[in-house]
Amino acid sequence: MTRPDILVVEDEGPIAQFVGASLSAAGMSPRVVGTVRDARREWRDAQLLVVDLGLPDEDGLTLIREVRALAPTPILVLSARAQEAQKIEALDAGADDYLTKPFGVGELLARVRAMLRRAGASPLPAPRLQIGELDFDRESRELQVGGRPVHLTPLEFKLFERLSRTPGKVVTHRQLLADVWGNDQVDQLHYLRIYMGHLRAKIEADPAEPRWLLTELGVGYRLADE
Amino acid sequence: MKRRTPALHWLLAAAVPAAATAACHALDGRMSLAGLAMVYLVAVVVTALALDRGAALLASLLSVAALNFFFVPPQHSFRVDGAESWWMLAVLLGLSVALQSLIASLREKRVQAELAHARAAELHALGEALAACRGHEAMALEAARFLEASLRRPCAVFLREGEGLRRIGGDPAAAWQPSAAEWALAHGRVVGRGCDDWPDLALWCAPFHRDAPLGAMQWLLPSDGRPSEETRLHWQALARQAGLAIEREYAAESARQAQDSAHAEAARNTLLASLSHDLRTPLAGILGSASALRTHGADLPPAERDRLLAGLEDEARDLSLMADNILQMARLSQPTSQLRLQWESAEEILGATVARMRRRWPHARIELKVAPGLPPLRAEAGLLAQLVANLVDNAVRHGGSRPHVVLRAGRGRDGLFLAVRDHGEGLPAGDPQALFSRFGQSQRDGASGLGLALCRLIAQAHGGTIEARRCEPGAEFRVDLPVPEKEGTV
Repeated sequence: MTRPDILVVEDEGPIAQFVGASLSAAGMSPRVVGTVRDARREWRDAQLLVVDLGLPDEDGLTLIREVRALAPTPILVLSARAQEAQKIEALDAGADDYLTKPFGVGELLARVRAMLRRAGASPLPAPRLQIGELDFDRESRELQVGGRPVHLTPLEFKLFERLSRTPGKVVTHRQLLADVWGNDQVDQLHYLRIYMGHLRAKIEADPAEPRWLLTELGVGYRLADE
Repeated sequence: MKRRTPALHWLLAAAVPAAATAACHALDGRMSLAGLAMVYLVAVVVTALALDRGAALLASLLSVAALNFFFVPPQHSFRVDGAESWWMLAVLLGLSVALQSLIASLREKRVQAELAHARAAELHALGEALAACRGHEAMALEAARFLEASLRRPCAVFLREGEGLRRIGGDPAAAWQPSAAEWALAHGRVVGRGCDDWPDLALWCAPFHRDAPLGAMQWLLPSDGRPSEETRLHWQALARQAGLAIEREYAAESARQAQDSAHAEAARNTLLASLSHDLRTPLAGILGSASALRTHGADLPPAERDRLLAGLEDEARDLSLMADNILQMARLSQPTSQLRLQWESAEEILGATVARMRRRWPHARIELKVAPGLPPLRAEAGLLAQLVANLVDNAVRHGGSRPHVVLRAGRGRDGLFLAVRDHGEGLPAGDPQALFSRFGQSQRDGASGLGLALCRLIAQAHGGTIEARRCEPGAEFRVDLPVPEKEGTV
């Protein structure tokens, strides 16, 4: 198996070093650059990008938009606590996932592996999705949990269907509201919370501690992919 | 205030004596002169009751004249023969005038009483309208609006701002006189029409300056006429009431601001105190372990090396948690800090935080019990999650060797509550509330001292409260949060 090329765009020495070393040790081949300018030259060969939001020459967001306009290469964002709002902007701009500093090697590798796995899959959503005890048939609009059929209302179906298109990937509140309710409803966060509550009540064994429909506090939701 | 007697009254003043005359004409011959005089007396009483004073006086004069002319012998002449006739005419006239003045004075009293009642009601309504306002500027605006509607005159409030005055309320195009307000405020006297000062101005202006010159009310008057003494007294009462309310609110705001900056000052001091103490301890551990590993790493048995590395990781994680707490504490201690409030679900915040805490403390047993159907609340998710994380962290650290932590959420006193219970060593002696004061670190260990202080700041920033109580065994920390009137109901 080939070693996946990973471009790490990070200017802080210790973090760049730690990310690079961890990725190499996990059997990947990372390259580390410290500026957006260098990243523009190098990203085309990479299978995955790890981008820090606070870079010395330009905003990491600019790079994310440029890359996303040209290619579907997965992008993992690294953000500091002070950049929480930018993190959501980055996800809306096309980043696939994020890690908030400080983070451990375990988290980093888990995210990178999940993203590479998804990138290898077909870009079209699979007609049938099986994750753990969830069994979702997109065509016939049938969802089963542990063999038990679950009846969804049209809005609940749309919400679940939207999350199921990208299992494992965080979808921001804004994206969910725009795709399920429409572009003029992107600020109606409470709709989303109410329907997510309904959906969890039908799917989760314990809705307070969801196993499948995971909360990303202040950011959005994701459908667990394992 | 005099009103003009309507034409109808003058007409009736002529018509009623004429009717009495016609009636007497019909009765003449069947009744004595005294009997006829009684008919006129009835006419006089009726007019005195029904008509204005002037018209009633005219009616009584006409009645006396008609009685004299038509019926008192010799008839059809104004001559009067005999003392008895004189006496009768004089009594009729005297009685009617006395009656009229009695009725007029009663009427005057009633009008006065009604006016006094209306003015008292106006003062009361003004007080009510101002009580509903928050902030002295909003109150000034409401006072101007209320008085403008109630007095039907352009009305404004001038408030001191820096060196000058700023007008609040009132039509900008009206002929306001800030200089009159300045003068009134500088001298502490009422100025304008009907006053000792500046009586030629077509306005009335009263300062309010109980403690310090704060502002003045001003209303514009028509170019002619002079308000009566009573009207001016009433205006002063209105101005005083509005002024007092605005001054009180202003004083309360100043006190709040002073308190806020005192809080911010205290928070900065704590932050510095905890930085010097709380950061040094883990840093010393990290530095020690790292240098030991670097210098003697090769000679150390693997188990010992692992122990040092695990300690490094733990200390660094604590430091990072503390950095988050310090960051938020600095932010919330700013008097101007604004929360990014969203509609949030307590269940989600707890669920996500508990999942994170289980990964952080794998050896602890963390239970979550959330009552179903909790209402959404306005909160900043990240902050509330940090509050819960700090409480759980604290519970695990003080939960003994096998910590058992129970998180509960449900409907509380005036909204919902979150409670974190541990089964460990319990609280130190003394007032449990002292744990949240920022200098209380020494009782429990440093990291959680800062963490609990931040918990209180976060609860307060959301309009809530936090309290600690002893349990058998262990302790419970409970946060009560208000639930706003929902805009989106389920």
